[in-house]
Amino acid sequence: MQSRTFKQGIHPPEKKELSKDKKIEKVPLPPQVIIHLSQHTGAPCRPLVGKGDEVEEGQKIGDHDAFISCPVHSSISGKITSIEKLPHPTLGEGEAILIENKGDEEKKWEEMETDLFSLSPEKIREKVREAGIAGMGGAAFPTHVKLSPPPAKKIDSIILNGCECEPYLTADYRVMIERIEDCIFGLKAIMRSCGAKNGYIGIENNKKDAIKLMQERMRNEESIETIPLKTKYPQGGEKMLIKAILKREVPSGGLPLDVGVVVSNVGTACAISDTLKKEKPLVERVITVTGDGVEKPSNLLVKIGTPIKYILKLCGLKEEAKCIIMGGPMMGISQWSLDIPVVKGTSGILILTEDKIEAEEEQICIRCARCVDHCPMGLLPTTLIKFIKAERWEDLEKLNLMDCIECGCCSYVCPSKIPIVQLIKWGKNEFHKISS
Amino acid sequence: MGLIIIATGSIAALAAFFAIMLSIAHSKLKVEEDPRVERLLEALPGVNCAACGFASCRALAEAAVKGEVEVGSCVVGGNDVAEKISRIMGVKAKVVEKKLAFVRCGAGKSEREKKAIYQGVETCRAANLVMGGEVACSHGCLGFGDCQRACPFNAIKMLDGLAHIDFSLCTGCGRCVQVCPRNIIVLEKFNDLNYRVKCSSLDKGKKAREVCKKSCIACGRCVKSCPYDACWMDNNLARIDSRNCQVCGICALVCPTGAIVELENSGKK
Repeated sequence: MQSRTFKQGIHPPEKKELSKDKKIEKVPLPPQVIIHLSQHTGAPCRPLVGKGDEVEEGQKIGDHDAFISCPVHSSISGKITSIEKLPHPTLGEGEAILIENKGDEEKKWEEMETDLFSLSPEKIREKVREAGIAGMGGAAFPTHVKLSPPPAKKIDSIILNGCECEPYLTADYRVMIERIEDCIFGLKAIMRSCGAKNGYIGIENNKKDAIKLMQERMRNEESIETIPLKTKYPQGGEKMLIKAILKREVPSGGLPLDVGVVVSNVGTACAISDTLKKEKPLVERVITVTGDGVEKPSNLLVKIGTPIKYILKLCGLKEEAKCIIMGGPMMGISQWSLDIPVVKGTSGILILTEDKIEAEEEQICIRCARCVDHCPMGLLPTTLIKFIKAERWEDLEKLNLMDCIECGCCSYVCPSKIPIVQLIKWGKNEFHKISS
Repeated sequence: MGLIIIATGSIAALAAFFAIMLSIAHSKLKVEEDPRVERLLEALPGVNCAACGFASCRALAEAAVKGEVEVGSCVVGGNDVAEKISRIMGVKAKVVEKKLAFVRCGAGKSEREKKAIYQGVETCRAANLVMGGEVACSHGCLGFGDCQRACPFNAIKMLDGLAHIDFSLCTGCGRCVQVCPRNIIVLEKFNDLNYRVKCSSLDKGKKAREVCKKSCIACGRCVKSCPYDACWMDNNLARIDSRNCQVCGICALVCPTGAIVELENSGKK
């Protein structure tokens, strides 16, 4: 069967072989965790605890009343040593709660018999919100918001995103292989809460065994289908995924629910399954630690809030390591401190050595339009950067700047090494300022 | 010969025809403009700095004629221009308070610590979005000179990666304040001699000292030694209340890091 895909995009080296066959390992409890109050898109939480309080694993320690927000939980049992501003992997700096491990054993989460059909859609949404589940693919959008489509919008399909199109990362792949039942249970829960009839699991065809496993498992599932997709970046972008699987196009400025679709990551589905089966909030996640700068590339199950210093000590940081990236090489954010903790949206830690970093000086745009040829959203990066460099913020809207998904294809193919995505991010920021 | 006459004649006829058409258009399609606009334009500085909120001096003049804005709207022109405008408009002039821009950071490239290597878009606003680029202090000057490029009066110079303002050229238009992503440039009223805190770090003393040699470490010595109660501490940062300040200079003497500086506004207009 021919694999489906979308138009344009790029083919970067996959580099998945480093950690592909490493089983998910559990990381021992760290001596201290840093729980950021803003780990999701939306309003940051307010702390519900104070300095000196004793907290239990899974206890809610921060929340906010806003709809687009979700609570944070303590990932270990221990004592709160302080609440202060600390380095944050995406925001630079943010309010965080420091919890010191008292040396207690990890809490055991008992699995209960759960019948999905006895749970009402409202109940599922409420449980997902209370568990603090945010999209685990990277953007960390609160999942309960995705599960509550406005009544006017009819959702007919749910897509589970198992593409993992970012090079190097293998966490989702391991989750699909090792926790296939939880993935499917999570998908069914999403389908039930949105009232959707069809479920799809999109997997890139470089993960042949995951596709085979899923297809075999789906033989007796009527409403769920496994779709092999062409290996191409950014196949895992939700708009690309919808286009490839359902041939629908999300309108400019719209959301997937405008075309009746909700897209969710496989990791998120597993977290939903944990919540419904074990009443377990989002306190841990699977990440990939990889790159040429680590001695032991691996897939790890870590507590949210574990400082990357602790994780890198386990995996062995090589001396020639030069650059630390939170996330994948295409969309990840380069970090300057090892005290940064894992947050809900962290899908991996990538350590690169000097020879893998290509930092050439920016040259002038030669208008070759390679970026135009590869932009999966069909934008005109050449024109956009011209306007941004001239600081003509008000004209950017006409060029659909806000539709940019910041996938980085344009920067990747640019022969003049222009940091196009950074310019676009700056343009978006300035545009927000003038329009507010 | 005949050819030359025909050519000259036809060109002359065409010229006459267009001249007539133009003069008709001039009298029939004329747009009446308030004569005060021209006079206001002469009175305004004419730099089109947009500090008033209008795109150009002409736009401000047109709005002023319609009575949409006050006479003192041109901050750049100050009292002189406000007076001229009020004479043209026939209203009473309002006293405009003259303010100048001041950079609340005193650390050059050599005095501030680096936390990383930054390779990206070389503007402060873009660098600030990626955790402030290479500057370790999360409050201080980033040094790419967005303010310098934005200044319509060439009053800002970047020396050793830090913005310096030439008070003799600064008009207080506030363009630099708008573009600075770290909000370290403020508009303040200046006397002949002033003492100012040249730092905006809200970090605690230890952290502030770690990242910068010239930061305010919130030791509070200025607060204790000020005889006029003009110094106070706000969120780990010393502040000086210009209403109480008697310009004695004790605070600058006792400050251990040199964060309080003496400024001489020699080019005061």
